Amino acid sequence: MDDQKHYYFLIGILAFLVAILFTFSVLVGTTGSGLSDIFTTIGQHDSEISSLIIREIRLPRAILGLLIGATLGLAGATLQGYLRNPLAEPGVIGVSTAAALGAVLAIYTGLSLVVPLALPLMAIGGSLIVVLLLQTLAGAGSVLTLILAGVAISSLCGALTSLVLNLSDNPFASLEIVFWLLGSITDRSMAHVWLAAPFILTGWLLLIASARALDVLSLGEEVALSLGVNVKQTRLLVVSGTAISVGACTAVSGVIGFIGLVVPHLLRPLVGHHPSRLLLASALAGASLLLCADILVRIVSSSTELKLGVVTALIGGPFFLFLILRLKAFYGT
Amino acid sequence: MRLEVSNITVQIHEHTIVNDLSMMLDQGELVGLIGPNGAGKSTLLKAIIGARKLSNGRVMIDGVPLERLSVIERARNLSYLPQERYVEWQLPVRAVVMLGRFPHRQGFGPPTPDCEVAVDRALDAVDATPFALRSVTSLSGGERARVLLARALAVEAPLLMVDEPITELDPYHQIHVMEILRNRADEGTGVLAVLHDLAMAARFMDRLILMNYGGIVSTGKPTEVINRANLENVYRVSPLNQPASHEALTSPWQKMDRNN
Repeated sequence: MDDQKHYYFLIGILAFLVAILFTFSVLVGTTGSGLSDIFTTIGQHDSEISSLIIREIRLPRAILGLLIGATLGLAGATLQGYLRNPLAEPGVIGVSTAAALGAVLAIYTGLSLVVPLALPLMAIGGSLIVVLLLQTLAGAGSVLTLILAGVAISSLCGALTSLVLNLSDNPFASLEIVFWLLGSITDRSMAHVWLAAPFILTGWLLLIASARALDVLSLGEEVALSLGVNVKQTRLLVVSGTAISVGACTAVSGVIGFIGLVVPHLLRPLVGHHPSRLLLASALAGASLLLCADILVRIVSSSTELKLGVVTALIGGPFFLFLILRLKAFYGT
Repeated sequence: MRLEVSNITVQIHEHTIVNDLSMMLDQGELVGLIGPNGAGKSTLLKAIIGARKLSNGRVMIDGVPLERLSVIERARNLSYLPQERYVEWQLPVRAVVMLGRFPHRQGFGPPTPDCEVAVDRALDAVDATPFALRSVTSLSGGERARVLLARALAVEAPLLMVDEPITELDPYHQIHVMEILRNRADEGTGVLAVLHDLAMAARFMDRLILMNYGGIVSTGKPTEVINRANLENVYRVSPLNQPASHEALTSPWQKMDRNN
């Protein structure tokens, strides 16, 4: 079918783009490395400085960029499909703020200094608590209940994060908290990758498992139910998939916004508006966008590196405004 | 295949919407569910497909309680068209109708030839083939209503529940849709349709069920159900005088005061 071919073509292009940007991400930095260095380095235990930089610094950074970008794109597309709302994004169910609160507490209590992995672990803990809360509060309720519960959790976690900042008498801890909240994947090690990847991949599987149901949900929950969709199970898949994967991302990178919102929006017309087809496409485009932003961060700033979360918001915000203007022109209102 | 509803009660926020109601729908039967606004018709349909919790009673297909069937088995046997013509996203018409094949498709593969045939048949039945590739959000209300009916037909279930299938349609397509339902019933499908147009109900239906206040007031052949007494007592309207032979093909003519 023509439609199907068009979709595979798009996926092919996006996958190619991810591959190029990933390679570029490993290449680009303050220390130059050639393409040949990379291929000779990976897998070798060479102690040369450039290979060390690639293996220990740039590779984890590129892998995290890929995983996090893909997660944000995928979770955004899934949530928009499930909630049937183009304004939904992973933050809407309160996952990012809860994970951030866990991380902030780890910094505030000094636990992150004693045990380096305490920060990501507490962040993941925060997002898992959100899954339980959402299931308890809105497990059997409507989509609206879920959004309301998400907004409430999000505001509460935001307030608690502010409280921690407010109470923090150590300016260094406060600065670290603020910087961490801005979102970045600089100076992450393979340990971060190994810690986050299992959660991220589990979340992906849960989200992808909901894909077919998302198409039928375009007709509303009652029709979906009448067509054999297990609505409760779909909700569990979407909520826990988002919380686990986005929570793990926030745990290693801080809060990175806008990708989950903008990417599915941009790709929807290109996949014929099918919610299920949007998932893989958004994951690839999300990865591309994050890798691209991360490369930009490295190229543009030299002394003080711009934070990735700041850059994605700077690109995403105006872009979103542009989209709204275009929609407005389209509907003529 | 037989649908059996026995003594069901549905309560929403402590209000009883359907009250101890029993009914039956057989294969090949075209049954109209009529009654004034708020009588509980749509809620009854929702209860039958399992979208409303029953406080009492049970719904059975061929003697098997609905809750004993898997969601997929239930979906293959019972197709449902809600009153709300809701579609999110600008999906192409054909893709919307293909969603009706969901219970027959597993995995992510392309649709089977069987599914393609069922979708073509459904699109053709409602006259929607000419705009099958257009986006559903670009259609008029009536066109969209027909596309969503095609979606319900594409399930090709032995039992079809449709809620106000002709409300938004022009006269030509009202008759057209009633004929589609008639044909489906003649082919063996059991059809239960909520209707407000009494003349259409009288003309096309094998049997009518008149509901009021969550219960059944009257059931039987259209001529037995649509009569002056029921119109006045249940609908609170008096009919335009008709020759006795066409009494069921009535036109509601005048409002009546509740105290009359």
